[in-house]
Amino acid sequence: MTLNSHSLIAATLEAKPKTDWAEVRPELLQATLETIQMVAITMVIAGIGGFLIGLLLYTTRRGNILQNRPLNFVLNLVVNFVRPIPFIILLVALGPVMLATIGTTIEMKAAVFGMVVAAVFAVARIVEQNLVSIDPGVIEAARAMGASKARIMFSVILPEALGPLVLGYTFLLIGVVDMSAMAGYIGAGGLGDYALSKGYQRFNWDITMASVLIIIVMVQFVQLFGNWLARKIMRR
Amino acid sequence: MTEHTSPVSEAHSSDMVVLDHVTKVFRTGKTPVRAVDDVSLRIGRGQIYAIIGYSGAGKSTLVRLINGLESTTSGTLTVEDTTISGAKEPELRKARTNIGMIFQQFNLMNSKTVAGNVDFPLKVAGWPAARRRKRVQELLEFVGLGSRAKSYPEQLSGGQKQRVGIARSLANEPSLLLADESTSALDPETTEEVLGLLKKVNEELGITVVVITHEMDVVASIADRVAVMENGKVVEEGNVYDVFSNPQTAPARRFVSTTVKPTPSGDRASELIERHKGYLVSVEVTDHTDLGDVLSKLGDRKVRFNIVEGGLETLQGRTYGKLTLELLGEISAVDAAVEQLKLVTNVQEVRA
Repeated sequence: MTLNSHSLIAATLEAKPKTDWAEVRPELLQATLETIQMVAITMVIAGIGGFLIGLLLYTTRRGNILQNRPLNFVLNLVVNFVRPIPFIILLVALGPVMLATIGTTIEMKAAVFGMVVAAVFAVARIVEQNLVSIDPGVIEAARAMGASKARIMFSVILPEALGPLVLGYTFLLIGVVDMSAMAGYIGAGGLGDYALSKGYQRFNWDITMASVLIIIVMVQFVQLFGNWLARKIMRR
Repeated sequence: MTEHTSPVSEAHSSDMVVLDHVTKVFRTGKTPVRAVDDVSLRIGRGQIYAIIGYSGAGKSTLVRLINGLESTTSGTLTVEDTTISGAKEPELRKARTNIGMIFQQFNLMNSKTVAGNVDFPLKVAGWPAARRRKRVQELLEFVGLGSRAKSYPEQLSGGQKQRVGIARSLANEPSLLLADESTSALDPETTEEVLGLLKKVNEELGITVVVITHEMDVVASIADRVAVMENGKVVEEGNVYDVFSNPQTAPARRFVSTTVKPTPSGDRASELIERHKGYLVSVEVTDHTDLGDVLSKLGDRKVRFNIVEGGLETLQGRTYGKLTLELLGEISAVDAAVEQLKLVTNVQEVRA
């Protein structure tokens, strides 16, 4: 770190403006609710959509119940196409698609659209990876009993992988909270936006720290709940 | 193929499974693999039919052709009145509810309780809930696990898991049960327990059982008939007693020798000869061998004897085996004793 940046930080810390908590508190609450809302909507839509894509990625593999090499190839291509794009770039690159579908490129609606697109493929990959660990013998046994493909998918594959899937979804949910912070860039609100615009840009460390603290508490809570649920499902 | 009994030339109503020139070729790798190569077999209703072979012989593929988990490349395969070869998925699904299957690694669902696992095939077949509950309990009682309904698979021993597998396979009252290496992951004691249960399934419920194995002991203890597979082909087929007492092919002889000790030869023979100064002969023992009568009179001829090696096995309720005897006495007396033995059984001199 150079002397200059040292003194800059020192300066900002000294020039710390007074934080009017009575004014900040409702704003923080509002931002927290916005974050929860964006994350929740994204997780529901991407969670279901990603599960279905992940299930297809897994079942269309060679030797699996819906073996279909062209479909598997295309799905892999699409997932690998979207996943490496940095989220902030994806958010603006999706502009034309947003205009054509939801009619806007700003605010929460657009942010959630971008988050869903990014999350759905991440979920798909995590789901596929968890399903691959299922013992193929169990699927073979279900086939030998005359079970249909749909029954095998939802009564065998899903329950057998449920524990690891819960952990996978917990991991993804935290990634989505991370994405929501960048949504402030297109005016979507939320804690990330608040921390940047009211905290960082106004040299108010209190607000930045408060926002960060709330995010940490939320993430901890989600992780603890995910661990507890997975343990309960896996009975260990 | 070597037939020990005359083959039935036409399809018979007493046949449960009929394979007619069945071939399965896998084309996944660079070179196609003929896993099952022109196999024709008849498995009679009510039999315990063993298919034995080393790993890679094609026996596991063969058993998966029977319930359509793998499709035949050519030939026809029927189970009862259903043609499995060439059948479409919905027909196969229906046929499979009449064919139970158990596996080497049990393949139980870890997310479901013991009762949940047994309940699954009933759900598939669309039984109403009340009947399902009764049937599950009945099946668990049958396999001796009536009190473990609420346990999870990881709380059970290997033998118990396989018994759950058997209960599950019997759920829809199948007429055929396929057992794919069902005891290979179990210790000898548990193996016996599971084989006993398979025998009970066959005797009490009249279910035809096809046992896939690489262990001749399994064949010896429960099977009526046996087919020996090598490189995708059935090289020998017949009554278990006949195949054991008179194997015709090299693979069959190798398998038989793992259970019934053959006449000593090579190193084993030289080692025996080194340790014994008497004349060594190997005699065959069957139900009809009056060996005791001859042996009890050897003293009169001034010949003493020792039993130095061998073993006997009960096959399909009949005794079979070979014993190596050391005969001690005057050369002429020993020769006469050997002649006496030859009158009642097959006798072979043990040579290095």
